Amino acid sequence: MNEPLNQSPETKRWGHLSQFSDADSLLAAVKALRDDGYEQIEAFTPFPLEGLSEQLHLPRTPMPLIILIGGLLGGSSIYALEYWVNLSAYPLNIGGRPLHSWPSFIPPAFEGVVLGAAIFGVYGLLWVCGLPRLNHPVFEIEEFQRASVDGFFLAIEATEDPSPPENLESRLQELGATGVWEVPDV
Amino acid sequence: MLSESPNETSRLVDWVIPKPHFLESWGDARAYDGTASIIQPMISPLYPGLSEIELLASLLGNNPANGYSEVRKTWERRLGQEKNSSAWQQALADGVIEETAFAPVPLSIEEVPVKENSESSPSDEWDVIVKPDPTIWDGRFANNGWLQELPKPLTHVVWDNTAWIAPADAEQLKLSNRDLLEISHADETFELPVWIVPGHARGCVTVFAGYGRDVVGRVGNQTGYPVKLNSSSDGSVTVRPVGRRSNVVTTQHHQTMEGRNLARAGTVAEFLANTEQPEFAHPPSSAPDATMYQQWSYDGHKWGMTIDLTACVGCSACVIACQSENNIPVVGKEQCDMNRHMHWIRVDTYHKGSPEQPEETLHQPVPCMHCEHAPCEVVCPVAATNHSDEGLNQMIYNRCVGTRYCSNNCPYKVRRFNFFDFSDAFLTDPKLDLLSNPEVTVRERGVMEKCTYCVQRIENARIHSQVENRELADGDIRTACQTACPAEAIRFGDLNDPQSKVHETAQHSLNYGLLEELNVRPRTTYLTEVTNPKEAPQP
Amino acid sequence: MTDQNTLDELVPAEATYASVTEDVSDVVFSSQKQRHWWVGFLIGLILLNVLLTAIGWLLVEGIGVWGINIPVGWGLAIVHFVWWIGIGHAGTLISAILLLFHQNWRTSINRFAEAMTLFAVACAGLFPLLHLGRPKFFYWLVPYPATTGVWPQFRSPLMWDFFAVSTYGTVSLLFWYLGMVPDLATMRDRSNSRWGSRIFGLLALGWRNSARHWHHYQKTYLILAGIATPLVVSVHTTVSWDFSVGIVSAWHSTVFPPYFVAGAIFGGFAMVLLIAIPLRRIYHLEHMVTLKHLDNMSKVMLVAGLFVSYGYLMDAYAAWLKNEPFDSYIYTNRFSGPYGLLYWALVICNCVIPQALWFPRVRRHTLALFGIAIAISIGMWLERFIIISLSLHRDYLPSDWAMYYPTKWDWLLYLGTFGMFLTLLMLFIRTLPAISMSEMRELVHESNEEQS
Repeated sequence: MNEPLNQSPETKRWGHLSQFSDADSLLAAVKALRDDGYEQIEAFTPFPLEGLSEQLHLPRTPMPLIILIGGLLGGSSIYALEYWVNLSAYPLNIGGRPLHSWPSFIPPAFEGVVLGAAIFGVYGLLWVCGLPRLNHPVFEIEEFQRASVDGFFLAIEATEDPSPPENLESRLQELGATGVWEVPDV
Repeated sequence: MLSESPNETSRLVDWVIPKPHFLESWGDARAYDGTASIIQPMISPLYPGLSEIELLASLLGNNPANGYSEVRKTWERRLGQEKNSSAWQQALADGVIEETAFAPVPLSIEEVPVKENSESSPSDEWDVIVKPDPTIWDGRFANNGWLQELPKPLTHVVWDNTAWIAPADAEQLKLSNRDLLEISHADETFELPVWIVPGHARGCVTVFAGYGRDVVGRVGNQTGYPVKLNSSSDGSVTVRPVGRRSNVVTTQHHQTMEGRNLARAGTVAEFLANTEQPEFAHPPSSAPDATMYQQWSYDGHKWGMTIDLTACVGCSACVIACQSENNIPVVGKEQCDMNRHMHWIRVDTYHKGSPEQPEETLHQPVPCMHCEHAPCEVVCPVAATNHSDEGLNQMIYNRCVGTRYCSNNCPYKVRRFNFFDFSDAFLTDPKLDLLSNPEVTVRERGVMEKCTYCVQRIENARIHSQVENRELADGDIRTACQTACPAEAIRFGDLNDPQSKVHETAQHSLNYGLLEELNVRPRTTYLTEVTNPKEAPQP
Repeated sequence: MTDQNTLDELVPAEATYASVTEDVSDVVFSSQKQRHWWVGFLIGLILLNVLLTAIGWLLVEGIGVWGINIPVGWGLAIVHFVWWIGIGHAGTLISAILLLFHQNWRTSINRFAEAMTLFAVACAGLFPLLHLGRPKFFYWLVPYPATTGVWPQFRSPLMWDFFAVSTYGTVSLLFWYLGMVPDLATMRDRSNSRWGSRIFGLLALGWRNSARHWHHYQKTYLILAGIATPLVVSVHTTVSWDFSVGIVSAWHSTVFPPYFVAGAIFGGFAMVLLIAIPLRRIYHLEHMVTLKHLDNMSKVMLVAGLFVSYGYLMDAYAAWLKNEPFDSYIYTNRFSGPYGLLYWALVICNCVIPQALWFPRVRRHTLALFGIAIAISIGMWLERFIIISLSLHRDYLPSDWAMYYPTKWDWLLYLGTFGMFLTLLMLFIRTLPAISMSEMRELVHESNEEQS
């Protein structure tokens, strides 16, 4: 488990994946590596681990803004439709009510806000996360399957790695990794 | 025998000659004052047959018999012989032959003693009153679906006949509506369903004959109960509850107003006391006339209707007129039992006061009110019902998806729904196809329908006036119910025309809107019933 | 009661990340313990065929096969629409509102509560569609540029309802799916079969538990929960507007929206219990859906029940306050009219029986809870029947008063929707993780933190 993967020289290296025994050692490793100067660290945890985002120095998520835009678009387009239909497209005398019966137009517009927000939220999340993406180099490591059960993993991309891979591997083991793998690029 | 359709007699005879309908035959008749009239067929006979005149003529040897030539022969001295004699043409156009009335006979009227309503409990002997049925008469119209389904005055029973008794008698005999009552007279015994009628005299039973025929036709078979009385109608009988029930169907289950001012009434004395704002026509109401909305203006025509409750006698002629004009289907007893009858106008009956001695029995025809603030329109999700610029509450049948929300939200419940394909026969039966009015859409299954103020008549009148290059005049448009009303209780016209008859009644101090407290602003309004009761003698 | 206690009871001390994951995913992967499932699935399929028959006959013959009439234009179909949509509300409430309030106990029940919402909304959605006189034209409610140039009529509460229910269905589906994506990745990774991992792999969209993804995901999930909360309130409010915007005097009341929402929570939690109690027994999930969960849900039901009872009192008060002959009559007709017995049954089911939930022993007695949940489900059905059909059978003009008797086709359609619900639920239990594994792992983590 501890042996690095045997690689043929022509395969390009995507980076390194290492496993940690628990959440605390993962958090400690992330902090140590950040101090070492690694910027593009990616961690994999079987549940959202509190404090990890801060340790990784992740930027604020754009999701609230995306959802807000979705909500505003949804609501205003429904209201605009109602206004246009009743005042311009096909005005009708309905029960003697005014053409612009704004109180009646609010409930559909409200539902438009919710629908727009939810759709933008879900599709926005996929877009921000770069999903769906069924293939990824880390999936090449069989042990990575534990990431969705009880494994805590850490990946460092090769593009960022200033030192020879051997240095990083020993550094990871020093930080308490229970396994280190070189991840091929596919 | 000569018969329009197979019946009990035709089953027993050897020879039956088919008779055309009276609207298919030539004939003549005299009015109550003796004025003669030529009866002209409306259509040529659908099926071959002989009218009475033709049969008699052929028995006299005039073959081939021809109703037209027999009628011409009868009147040739008066109206001439030649084919297009002007006198003949005139008589046909007028409908009557002038100056054929008889001279009046002077008569004196004797006071007829009226039997006082007895308060005593009934003895074993009950009086029986036999009446022809109010809709199918002596049974000759038993195969007429319209008349079968026309709610009978007061009881609103359809497709059946009943025996009327007083509420107190019903209590004593422990009878409720639909219980079967055995009526025996000499060696005749028959059963009729009981109907309790407020105001009916005690110790007396009113039975309606005409039902229970054996051989009628598709519509009239298996309807009602036979009345078997050999003697004259003023005989006495014994009655006995049978302990079984019938499945008689009514279209109005409640006949009290529950303290609501629906059908309003007062006396002449009360009216004369305050002609400007009679209290009985305008009881204090908590509902304001205010609205938050800017009003739609109706600058052109503004159609409206008034119904005079004083004039209305509750005969239901308007219901049949509407049914024939608007292709309203007959749905049958079972569907009526499920409250799915289709009449666009109905005549409600309400009793005021105690059931034994109701102060008054009121009839209130209820068509669509064409509310200016129509609650039905607001709730339709597809705008299938909306307002025309002349104030008609329009129903767009082919847009209707059938949510029935409009009917739920109609305080008058005048909307009717096609729960099944009720109109199917209009399209598939070639005879019924002839029956339908080509100017009115036949509605399909799952669609809501209701009174249109006879919009086809409005449009026809408009087209005629445009052809004649003139303005629409008051009286050009007469709705079907209005034309049929024998008491002229219904007026229809333009509320914007100050000269119109309907404008006059709409502005009258006796005018009120049904459920006007809901502020739906009905265009159909009522004139309060005004009676002139004879003062009860002081004891 | 401290947080410590709550957590102790929510997950057993010996639970690990792997053990909770296995417990949940084994329901799908293991071939053991299938007998109960097959029985349930078979009953579901039989009833589903009842549904198809009822729909088929309805489409062939027309809406007249039901008992509705004029004046009672809305009968059991709308009663059942409101009943099902009300049940759906508990799911969203558990998954969204309790998330916002950081109620950890929601974790083990939120997934199937959301699934229940979806299936209940699917059942509910059938009724407004089928109750149309011409169901083939249901799409006229969709605002699309038709060749006729005619558009829907947005003043109608039915349009609002159409928007609300379709939004609710869509958002619930998205929320449910989004919450399941990490678990689908677990299923992908744990599946032994080639097809299993492929299908779960496709559904998981390539989720790889990356910290970056969790970072965006958590925020989005929370915001969606925040949006779902007003949505769930708005949906039943809109349903109540179908009635309270109407002119029918027993409908025209401002108390309807809160009273309907409380009723939805009341009936919805009862349905969650009706499903959860047998499920935890059959699949031995007592250590995940603990007595603590049942206890908390009972408390919510008790409070919602008191709200509903308050609504009934307000109905009486409003009728008295308006002092109109129509309103007073309609109110007294409820309990003394021809359907009076139903009203008293409603009071017993919804106001009297739930009072037993004041006692902690009752709240932790599964059989008693099951009985109370059945009573509440019946009570909520009666409430809808009384509000919808009873209000219509006697309105403004006594001349058009009439009775409403449902026919067998009304009932068969209702019975059939249970088949659809059960079939979907059974398929869900056997194919998807019924409890959120990632959230359970988070709970185990928190529990470990607390202990150390």
